Amino acid sequence: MTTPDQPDLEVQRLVRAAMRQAQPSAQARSRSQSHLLARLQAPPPLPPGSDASPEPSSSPAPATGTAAVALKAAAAVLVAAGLTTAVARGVADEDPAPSSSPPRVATVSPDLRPTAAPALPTPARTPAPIASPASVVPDRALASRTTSARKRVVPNAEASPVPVPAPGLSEEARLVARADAALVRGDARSARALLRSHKLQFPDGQLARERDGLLHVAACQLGEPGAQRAAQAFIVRNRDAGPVQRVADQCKDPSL
Amino acid sequence: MARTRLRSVGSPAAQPQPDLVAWVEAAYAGHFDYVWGLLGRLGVPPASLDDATQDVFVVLYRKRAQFRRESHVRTLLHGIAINIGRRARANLARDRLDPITGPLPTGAPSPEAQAEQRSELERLDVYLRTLSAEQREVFVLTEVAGLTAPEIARLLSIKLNTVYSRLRLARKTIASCIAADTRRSAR
Repeated sequence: MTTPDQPDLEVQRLVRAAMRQAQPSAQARSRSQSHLLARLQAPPPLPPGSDASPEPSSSPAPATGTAAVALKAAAAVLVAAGLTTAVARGVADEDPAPSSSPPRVATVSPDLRPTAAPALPTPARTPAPIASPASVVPDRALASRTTSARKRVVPNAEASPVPVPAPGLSEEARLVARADAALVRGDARSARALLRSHKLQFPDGQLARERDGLLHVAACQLGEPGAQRAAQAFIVRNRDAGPVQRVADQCKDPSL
Repeated sequence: MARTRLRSVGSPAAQPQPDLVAWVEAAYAGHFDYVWGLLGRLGVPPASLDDATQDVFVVLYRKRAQFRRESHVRTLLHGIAINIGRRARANLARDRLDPITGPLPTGAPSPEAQAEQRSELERLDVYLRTLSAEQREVFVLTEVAGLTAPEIARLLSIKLNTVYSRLRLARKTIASCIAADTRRSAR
């Protein structure tokens, strides 16, 4: 039987030193946590085969202005109406979710063991799937995704052309939708934290006006001094914006 | 069969569960840095590291029922990270963006030359590129994750002797890279 050789001290020293340097930045950690929470809390995607359940793709697709406008408009309307769930569902398509489309990766392992990737040179030596009743590999859909692809919605190849939102818009919509949900359940502090996170990441984002409107709603819910006056100023400046009516409803001056 | 299982677990009727989200959040807080470092050594490119690390925890969440009653979370993260790493490498190879698992381009500086004037992390990553994908996984799981050979054999579903063989070759290659680098520096 083959036995392990002794580890080379120089190798171990290099690995230890290298791993001390392998640290993500605090900003990356925080940003990633925010995105992860959004992904976990978003409802799962629509059923496989549904016309509205796009498939993640590794080939970055150009964003279309029409699609971006459509998603933005939908998000704005839904935020204004407080329909958080619908917005979240609409952007949940980016999750590594199962789909009825043909898999891009040949092997789907039903347990925790690594699955074979098609580009590996020795597929014959990859582990065979082992049955496990409670398990599935939903990360199958991750196989073909890249950083840029994450922020795009790509339709099934056989489906009719579906508009693709602009990069980052779905992340914006997620944050705003989560904040909206927090407001609906009366958790204005969480909502404000999410909205501030949005402001930090997307200061001039496409949902900036919706965000600002919800910030006023949160301030009014918290009863902050001057919140109603600031809300009225927002309403005057944004008469045609989606969240204005909601701001008006939530920030009524009781003395009037 | 597999498709049926996928559909059943990924049922759209499932809704986010706050306690499970909190559980994954705790795992994230405790292991994010570790997974991030592990994926980088497994060949996930820096530009994709944040996303890939998120993916690991999303999969952890999706498989929560199995995970909670079985192994330690870090053991589970290893299996997921290996999968994510393989797929990231496959994507890179397919897109021909950066063939990490392939040979260095003709005319490119040797790994030793590239490693000069670099941090230990950059040096290690350059050296890791000289390994085959299989050797790299075993080496990283041993030296970075600290798994034993039997644990790696179980995780990768390979024979124990295969683990030893790959590890020996990987260590030999890395050691030769270090030695060559040292010789160059001494000149």
